Amino acid sequence: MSNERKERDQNARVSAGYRDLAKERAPARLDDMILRKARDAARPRYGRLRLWVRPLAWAATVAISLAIVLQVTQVPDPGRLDADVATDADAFVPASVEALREAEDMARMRSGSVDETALSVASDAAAPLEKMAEPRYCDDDARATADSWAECIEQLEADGKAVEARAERLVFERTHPDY
Amino acid sequence: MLADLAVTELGRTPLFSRAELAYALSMNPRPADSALMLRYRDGDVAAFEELYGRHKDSVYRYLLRLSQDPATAEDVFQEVWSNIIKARDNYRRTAKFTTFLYRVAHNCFIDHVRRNKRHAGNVGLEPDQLADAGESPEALTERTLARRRMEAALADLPEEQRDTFLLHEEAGLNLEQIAAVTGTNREASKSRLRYAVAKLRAAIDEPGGKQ
Repeated sequence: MSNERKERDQNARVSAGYRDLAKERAPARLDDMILRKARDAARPRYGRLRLWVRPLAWAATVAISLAIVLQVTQVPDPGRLDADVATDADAFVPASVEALREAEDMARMRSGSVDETALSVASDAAAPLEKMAEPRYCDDDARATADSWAECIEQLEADGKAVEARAERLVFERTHPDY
Repeated sequence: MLADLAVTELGRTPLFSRAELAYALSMNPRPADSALMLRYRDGDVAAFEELYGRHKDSVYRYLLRLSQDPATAEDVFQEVWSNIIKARDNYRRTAKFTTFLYRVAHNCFIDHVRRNKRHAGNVGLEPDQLADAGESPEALTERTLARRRMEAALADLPEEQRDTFLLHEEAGLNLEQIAAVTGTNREASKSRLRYAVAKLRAAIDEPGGKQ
C-alpha cells in the first residue's frame, strides 16, 4: 500500500470519526424564526406604490436635469447686469461715507466741546479712512483739477467701466458740488 | 445517468435526441443551490425553504464546533441566515453557493467573537443522543470514548485549524474554496488541514488519549 493511499485511508477514518460525532441538528425554534423572516423579506415591500416608483424617479430626474441645463445656459443681459451693479455701488459708497461722517461726529462728541484740537484729531483720524473707503479709479494727477477729473470719468465710461465711472463720479460730485 | 444513456446506442440510433436530453435535464428534481437562491431572490419562498433545509444542520454544526458554545452557535446561526436573506437582492451566481454561505458564516462568527469575546465552552452532548439501537454496552462505551477523544482533540485544535477542518468536513469545501472563505491562500489552507487531521488521527488512535 503506498503512503498516499495509507494517508487517504487514515484521513477517511478521521472523517468517519467526525461524522460519528457530529450529529447535532439546528434547533426547530430557530427554523421557525428564520423561515418567518425569509417569508417577510420576500413579501413585496411597496405593493402598488412600487409600480410608480420607477417612472416617478425618471420624471423627477428629467425635470431636475432640464432645470439645471436652463439655469446654466441662460445668458444674462449685460445692460441689466450693469444696472444691478450700479445700484449696488450707489448703496455702498454713500453708506461708507455716512459711516465716516458718523465716526467724525462721534469723535467730536467724545471731545466734549468743539475745540480745534479735537476737530483736527477727528479729521486726521477720519481722513485716511475716508480715503481708504473712496474708490480711486482716477489717479491723483487726474484728480488735480475738476476738468481733468471729469475727463478721466468720461474716459472710464468710454472704456465700458460703467461701475467704476459711477463710483468715481459720486466722489467727484461730493468734492466739486458746483461743477 | 441520463447522459450515459444518451450516448449508448442500439446500432446507430441514440436512445435520446439532444432536445429530449435537454428537457430531461431541465426536469432535474434537485436544482442547484444557486438556482434556488435566485428563485428566492425572485420571491419564491419555497426555494429558500429547500435551500435552508439542505444546509441548516451543517451550518449549525460548523458554528457549534467552531464556537464550542451552543448559545453562541444559535446567535450566530440566526445572524448568518438573516444575512443570507438580506443579501438575496444582490446575489449573483459568481461562486459556489456553499462557499458564499460559509464565508458569511465564517465572517459572522469572527464578528461575534470580536463583539462578545465569548465562545469558549463545551459542546457537551448527552450520551443518550449518541446511542444507536441494538448496540452492545461494550461497543457503546468504546464508541463513546472514541467520540470524547475526538471531541477533545477537536476542541484543542487552534481556531484556524479547527475552522479549516470543519469547512472541509461540514461544508465539503476544497482547498481553494476554504482559502476563499477564510481569506488565506491554498497552501495555508492545505497546511492547516493537514495539521488538523494529523492531530485528530493521533487522538483517535491513542486509546488512553484525552477524554
